[in-house]
Amino acid sequence: MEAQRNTIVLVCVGLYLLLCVAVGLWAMRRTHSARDFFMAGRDLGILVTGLAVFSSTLSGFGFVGGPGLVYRMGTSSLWMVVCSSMGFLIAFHLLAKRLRLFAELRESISLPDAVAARYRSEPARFLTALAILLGVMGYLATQILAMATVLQDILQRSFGPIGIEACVAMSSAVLVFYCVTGGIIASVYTDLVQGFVMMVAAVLVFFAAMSAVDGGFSGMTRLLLADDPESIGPWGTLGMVGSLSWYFVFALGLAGQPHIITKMMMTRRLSDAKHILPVSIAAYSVSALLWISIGLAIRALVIQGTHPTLEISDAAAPQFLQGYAHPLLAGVVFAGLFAAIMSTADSFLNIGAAAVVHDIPRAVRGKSLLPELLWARIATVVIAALASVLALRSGELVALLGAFGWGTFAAALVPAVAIGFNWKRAHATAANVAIAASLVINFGIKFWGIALPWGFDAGALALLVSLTLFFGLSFLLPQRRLDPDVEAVMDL
Amino acid sequence: MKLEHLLFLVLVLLAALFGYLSLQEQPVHAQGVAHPDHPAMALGGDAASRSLPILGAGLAFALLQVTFFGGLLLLGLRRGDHERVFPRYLPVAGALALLALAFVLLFVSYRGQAVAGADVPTVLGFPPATAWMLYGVWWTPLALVALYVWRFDDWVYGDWEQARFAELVAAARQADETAARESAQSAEQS
Repeated sequence: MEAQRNTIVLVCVGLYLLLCVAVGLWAMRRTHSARDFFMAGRDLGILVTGLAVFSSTLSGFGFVGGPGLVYRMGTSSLWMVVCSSMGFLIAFHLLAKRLRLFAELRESISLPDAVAARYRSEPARFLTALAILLGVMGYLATQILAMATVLQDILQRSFGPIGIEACVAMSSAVLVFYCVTGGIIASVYTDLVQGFVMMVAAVLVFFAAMSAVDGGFSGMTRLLLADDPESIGPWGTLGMVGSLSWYFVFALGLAGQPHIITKMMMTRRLSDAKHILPVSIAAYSVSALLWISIGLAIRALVIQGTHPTLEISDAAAPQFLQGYAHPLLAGVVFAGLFAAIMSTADSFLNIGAAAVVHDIPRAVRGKSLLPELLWARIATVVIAALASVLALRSGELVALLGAFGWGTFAAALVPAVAIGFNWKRAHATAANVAIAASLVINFGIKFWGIALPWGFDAGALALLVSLTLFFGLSFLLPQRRLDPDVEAVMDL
Repeated sequence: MKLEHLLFLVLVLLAALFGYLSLQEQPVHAQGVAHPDHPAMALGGDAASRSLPILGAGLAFALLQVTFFGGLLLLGLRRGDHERVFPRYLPVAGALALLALAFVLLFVSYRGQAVAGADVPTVLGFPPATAWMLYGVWWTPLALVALYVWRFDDWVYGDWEQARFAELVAAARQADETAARESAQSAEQS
């Protein structure tokens, strides 16, 4: 079976991609309107929503970039994982009720719709949509780059050298197909399949990683302690402040990730939220085993001298699977990797298309691009093409590009959305200033390559500044009257 | 003190802490250095010289975060700006205290670990401080998840809220229909 390793992997991945195409075609028959395309008809059940929320959270960033970061920095990036329980709690406490109620009351089909209704402000709609579009580009590029990296590793073993450009093109093509055909319905139902595949893959990999190093986790710990005690300490090589800043931006930032929180607007019943929360946390925790176990195992194996040193840390997951997992397991896990990547990327394409077709035109000229469904499909293709170009030109590691995307969303949307929907005094001007300031800080630090002291994360700083501005300005400015129905919903 | 004032105060303290840290001199390996044998890998180096001088600031950073997150949870549980939410404060604060305790124990363990270097025992597969991170910081918030599930109908969305929201939606739809009818009539007249 070892001789057919690559054939088995290719067959598993091929079957999985065909399954995604089939779901896209099935979902196309259920997509009749823009509300179906963007909001899944607001008819999703507990399991579908719970797995869609988790699988959108743990993306290629987690499945490819995560192990890569552990290889590179030791345990530092595990703060992005351990914050998940608090992150989901904050997001559900602040938004599960408010967003669902706003969506139904005002027939909102996107997050900027709800923001415009909350603040009675078209500039707020525009800035929210702009922040979403900019964040989508960075984060979608991460997913496409992760998918292409994995595909390149698989194809090169069977067919010899193959360019990353060709892999980016192939990855984008499947992704675009099922998103364009089925919209968010295809996205959430593939999320369901993808979520199960990710969980099974993570558990199997966890045991493979335990057996790859003598003594399991204790054995890995001994090897890593001997090489560099800090790498297996609680802060990893990045250090205390950098790690805790990741805890801050990733825990709090989950409530600002539009691809995750818009799922809360799609549920059949609001009361399902109490079941969706534990489902999402449990599924995420199981799947995060892959991030932790592969990363630590491959770092230990390289230090031990069992595995050759990696040229780039993003290769950690593919190389571990090709070298230490049973061929059939490798096939399932590679399909799981694609699942993780595609389940997030399809959500980005969807909310990005909504920003271009629905939100920005409504903010600028008072109405959407019509016919909305056709333009949404065209916008999906264009956004995927632009993100593919960005993926090829960025030159960043998957996880670092992903962290930038996460921080962009977090700093822009947590104040205006997560806080603003729960605080009547929150002012539209404060929301607009917070969003604009967060974008300027995030992109400014990125563009000028500014290094913050002690490894403090740029997204965390932008989030801290935008939150402080949001609260401070809302206290300073006179309170504005809300629409009566909006005020009534905020009192519930 | 209102909840929003507390949240703002914590943010100001976090910003001040960032300012304080910015003024502290960083050792060369504060954010890690390249591994001599493996170029895509980093090393943390001597823990005592890079982490112990800012250990207190690090603990303050963690505890301020726990306070801020707790305030946000209560903000989400509040109905209206004036409702008394004291009965909800106690269980939520108790569950948050567990998280704060996990952080304190992590820092206490780390102080010993930073001095001991490689000569530390393992707990459930990891050095003690790392074990507190993985098993304590990650899992203590599950008490809050249990509270959310258990008290959802009372604290978040119960029968009264459902009935009130149904009234709001009915009123909104009626207003939409009236507006559409009036718009159609005016179009016919013109």
